[in-house]
Amino acid sequence: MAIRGKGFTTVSPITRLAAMAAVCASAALVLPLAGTAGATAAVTIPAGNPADGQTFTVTGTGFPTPTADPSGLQILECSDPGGTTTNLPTDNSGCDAISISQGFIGTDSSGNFTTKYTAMLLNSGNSTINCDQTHFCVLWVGQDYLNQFTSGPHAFSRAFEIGAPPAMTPEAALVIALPVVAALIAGGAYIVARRRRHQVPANA
Amino acid sequence: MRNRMTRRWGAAASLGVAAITLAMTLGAQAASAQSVPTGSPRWFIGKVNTIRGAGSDTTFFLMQRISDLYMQSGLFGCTLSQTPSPNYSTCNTGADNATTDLNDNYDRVEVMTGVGQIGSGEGQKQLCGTDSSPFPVDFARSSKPASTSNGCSNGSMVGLGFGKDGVPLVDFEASNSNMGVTGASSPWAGITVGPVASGWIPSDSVTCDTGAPGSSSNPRNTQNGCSGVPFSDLSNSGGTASIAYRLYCATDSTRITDWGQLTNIGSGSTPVGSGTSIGVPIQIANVNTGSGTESTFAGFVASGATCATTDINHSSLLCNGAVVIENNVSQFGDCAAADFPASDATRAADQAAEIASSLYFFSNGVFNTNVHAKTVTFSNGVTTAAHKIGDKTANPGSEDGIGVSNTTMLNNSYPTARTLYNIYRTDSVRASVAGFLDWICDGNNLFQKGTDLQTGQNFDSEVTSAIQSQFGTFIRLKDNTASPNASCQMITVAPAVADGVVTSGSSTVTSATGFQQVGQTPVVVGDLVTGTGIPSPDYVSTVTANSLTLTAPATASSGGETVTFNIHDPNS
Repeated sequence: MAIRGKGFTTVSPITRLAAMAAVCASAALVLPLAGTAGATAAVTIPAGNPADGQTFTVTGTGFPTPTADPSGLQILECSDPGGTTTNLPTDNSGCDAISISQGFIGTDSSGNFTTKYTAMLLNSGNSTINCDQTHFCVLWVGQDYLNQFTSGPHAFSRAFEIGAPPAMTPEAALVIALPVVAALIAGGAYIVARRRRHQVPANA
Repeated sequence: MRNRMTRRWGAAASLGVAAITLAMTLGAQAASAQSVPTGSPRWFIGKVNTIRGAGSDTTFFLMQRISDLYMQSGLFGCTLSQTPSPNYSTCNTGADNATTDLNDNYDRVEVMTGVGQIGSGEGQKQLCGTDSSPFPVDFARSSKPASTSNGCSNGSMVGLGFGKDGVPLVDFEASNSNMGVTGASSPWAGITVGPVASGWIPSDSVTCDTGAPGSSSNPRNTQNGCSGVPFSDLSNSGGTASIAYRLYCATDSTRITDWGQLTNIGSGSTPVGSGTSIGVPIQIANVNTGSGTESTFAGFVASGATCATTDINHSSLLCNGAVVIENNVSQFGDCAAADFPASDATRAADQAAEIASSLYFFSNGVFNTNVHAKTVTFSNGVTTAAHKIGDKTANPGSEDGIGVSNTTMLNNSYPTARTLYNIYRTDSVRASVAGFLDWICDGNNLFQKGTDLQTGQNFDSEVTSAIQSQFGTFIRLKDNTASPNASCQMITVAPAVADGVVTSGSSTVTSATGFQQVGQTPVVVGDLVTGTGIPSPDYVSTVTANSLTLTAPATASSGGETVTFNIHDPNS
């Protein structure tokens, strides 16, 4: 909404706030939420809860370099009752490796990685743990879940409930939505700037 | 029904002894006996037995764990009788009490996990008596289906599939990245061998595989910075012209022998398999042909043509050409050390070159679980690891463009998807064996397994954990798993017929109702037969829909009598 001030037409504070909100909203769609780290390792996943079979990006820092860990990292789902850090599993019996990542997850020379993971609904029909709409789980990321679950480099993601609201935004949708949002913001800014250039002084 | 215990018996080190002592003490002071189930699916017989499995090494560690769980549950089995002799070999069913586990290993059966001649095929041959065995074999551990080629008659072997797996090709993509030493030994005389499976060609740096995706000068390489194209898919399309066949089976000019043929395919349209050689021969590991893993992979690389084994074109250099065990590349470190000993001036580079240029295949479940089994350590302490082919793409373990996943293994779209079996013989299975195998297959559906008092977990959860997490990331198959993975069914007996016609002196029994009833367990050769005028013991020799023959002729005539069937020896 434009307000006619002394001599010029300016953008109202409400309009500025709306533009800022749009920028923040688009950032939130990709803003990763960090989990709980081991000594120095950390893992982040997107906001929201993934659906069963949904693929999303997992990023990590502080893991061993390729020279120290040529076999790469593993990702699997573990039960986290209540979704609290105090209930994180202390051994691999709280996890089910049927959910393990199948591809190679390698780190760069700084121990960082980015990979894709596909969420898997787990319940009594296919697992010893529950990862579903009413049971929180976390991703365990590390070098060797079988022999070095907590003793080796590892980190947990934040907790999530598969299939529960709010849903994690599909990354395919983000590929489309983000450029659109960016275009809208850029377009709005252009319009505002153009209006300012063409403003006619009140006493003309 | 077992009552849940509420007290712990003491320190873990003495728990087993204390439990046995306490159970027997309570047995002497018991109140009324519990009901003891018999017959399918639990097959309790009231005496201790020893049973033994043999065969697959893919499932060796897993079955050892499951066997241990079964025997643990036997600590709370029946109270053993002091008499008759031999002492403590039969169950005193009258002494069952609140702590007696009636649902698991009531008979205190002891299970042996054989380590004789290893391999799925070997296990089946020992089960069928084709191969000798140091001890009797009651069931075969097998990572491939039962086959009459192993000596048993058609239909007499039944496989209970309890796990799902796949067999991807593996290579060693990052080997030599840490070495970079010029190799002087044949066949790499004077050159440094880089990560050939990652697309390294001699003009590249040995660390080209660490380049970021898209950094290659070759637009066909979207994975790293090498000039060649990473070998990312094993195709068996095209019969004898397929990549798989030409690698493993071809012995003529079509054979693919050099890594460049797979990866040095330029930026144009040269197909994989038609690239330019780079002077780095492909080293194919010589895997035990009795292995079910090898058999599964051989079926794939044969590509519809004839290819007896995967060892036709095996390397004479890797491990000096010797047969290697399956599902383990850490042994290659020992091989490399022996192939290029300390006297070799360029030992490090030669070892790295040998491993970098090798191809192997691996159980997907074991690969995902066992980090040590997929890691090679060189003599200088540097380590490298095996990779599923294409594991940096969207299709890890790619075969015919299909990646390995739970979905593609379960629906068998992954070309080397396979089932892990325990195989028994219908004509000789003992009740104690049936009880153990049924215990594995049942997922707390027909009966509830008890609580493992060592861990507080239900035994069925521990079986699932063993299959899916501890000894492989296999997918557990149970008695209620849907088709096409529904083979883990209870061992039961055929229903009785009430209209059996028996004639004195004749071995033929007929029935209008029939011996192959729809929806029922059929009568099979070897079944124990009982009925009026049928001597004891007597067994089914042949069977059709409405007629069967006995191994011993009837001693009396009867029309319309009840004829019953049972497992081979219910008293074993």
